[in-house]
Amino acid sequence: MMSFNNISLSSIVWKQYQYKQKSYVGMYMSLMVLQLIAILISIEGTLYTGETTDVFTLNMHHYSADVAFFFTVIWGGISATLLTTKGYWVENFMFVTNRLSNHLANIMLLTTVSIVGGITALLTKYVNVVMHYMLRDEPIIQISTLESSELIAGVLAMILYILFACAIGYVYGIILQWNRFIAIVIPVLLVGLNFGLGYIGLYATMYDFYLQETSFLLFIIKVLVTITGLFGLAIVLSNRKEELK
Amino acid sequence: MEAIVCEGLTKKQKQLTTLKEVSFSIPENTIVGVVGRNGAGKTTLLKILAGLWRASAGNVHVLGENPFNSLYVSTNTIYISNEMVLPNSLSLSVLLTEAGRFYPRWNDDLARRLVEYFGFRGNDLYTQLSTGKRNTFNAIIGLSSRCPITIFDEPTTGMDQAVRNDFYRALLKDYLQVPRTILLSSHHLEEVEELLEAVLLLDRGKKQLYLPMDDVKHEAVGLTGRTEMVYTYTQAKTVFYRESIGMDTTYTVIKANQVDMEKAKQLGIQVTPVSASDFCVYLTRAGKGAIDDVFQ
Repeated sequence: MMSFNNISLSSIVWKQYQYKQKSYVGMYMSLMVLQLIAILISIEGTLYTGETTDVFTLNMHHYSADVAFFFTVIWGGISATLLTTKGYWVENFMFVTNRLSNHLANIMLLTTVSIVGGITALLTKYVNVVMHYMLRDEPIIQISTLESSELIAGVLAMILYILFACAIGYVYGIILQWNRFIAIVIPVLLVGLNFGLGYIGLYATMYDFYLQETSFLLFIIKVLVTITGLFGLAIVLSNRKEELK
Repeated sequence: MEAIVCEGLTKKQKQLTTLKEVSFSIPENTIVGVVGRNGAGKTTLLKILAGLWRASAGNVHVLGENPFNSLYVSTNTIYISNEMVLPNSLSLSVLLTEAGRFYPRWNDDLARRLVEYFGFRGNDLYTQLSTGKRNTFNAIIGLSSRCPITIFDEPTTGMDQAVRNDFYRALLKDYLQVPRTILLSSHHLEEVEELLEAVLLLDRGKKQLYLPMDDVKHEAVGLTGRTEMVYTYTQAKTVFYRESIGMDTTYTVIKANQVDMEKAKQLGIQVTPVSASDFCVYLTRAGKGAIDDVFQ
């Protein structure tokens, strides 16, 4: 008699994760292209002021990773939604897997791309500064107001925002696969509510809740709990579907 | 031990019932052919067995477990079909390595030798392959995985005759080396009948027959003779198929154990064997009529 192999969830998740890292390399490519565009857009700095006196000319360029960051957040959401579309979904079930292991591997993948996206988004700022060094003749006085601890907090926050967007995109993608009607109603409702409530209420509260949080630790907890909830919802919702592929 | 057991398996997809009360069991280490016409429910059945689709009603046990969403069944099963989607970002050689990481019994040596034999280049991309080539590559993955339950859903689609023959031969050789349960669905029963130990024939979602291959071959015989004689002789017998050939001659297929050779000979009726493939076609004909009736 043949013996059968039993395999643990964690080892399958890990194998799936490694496989996805390789097979979804296109995700990283699109990230690179987007961030290059972001660099080009912010080549002059997002804020530019010039001041001229008799003796010298002072040009102030304010470089930030804002554009790259914005692009990366959008990219995260879209990439996560794409993972749940039919083409990718079938691909997800090619080798050994079940629903849970597939979701867990996807979440690990999205976490990784968020980390990579967050760090590279921040680095685009320095690419702009370096380009300025190389392309211009004028002497440069660089003033950075950030301490290293603030920088780390900044990157961490960026990563969390991207992952947040990923989680929203992922849940939305799952809803889209599960029930087209609800998937269309949700954005309509969200926009409708916005007008209906006249910019107060829900959105202001959400804005305050996530974006105006002054305690960094509290911010991390809030966002992490929300992300976990969203991914959890995705897992529960996809269990209602009859087919894996 | 039974590798696969189905009891009253039913699958509803929207309004359509694609499988109706299908019951059978497949013992370990056998090659079973799943045949039937287009839309008979072959793919539905195989996907349920592979754990990709959930049964609507009835019981399914693969290796003693409900296959749907089961990691254990997924590890020990591979489902090869022409719907497979493999990433474009990895070369064929890397794909083999990746597939090998998932299947505990994967034979990498065999995979590489087959890939070379069938004329693939290691750095080719999957999506650039033709349909036949793609299915050949899928089949190589299926063979090399050496899963205790290997399911081939019309694996030879688009393959040329030489590759088909090679594939069947490779399948048989590898099966003899490493016995496992193999399910093979095909439209060409005559091509695979040498391989198969049993045949499961589906017709419009129902199990039409499930018999050992030898029995299928001897299940029916063909009678050719004068129409009048044949009609008289086949009265009260199980007639599978009837066709008139020429002015006054009829060909009728009936159950083999109902034929008395001596009597048939006396009536001037010629008795001929019916191939398994033809028998299956006769069993699953849409109605009483034939394509000729469409043109009348």
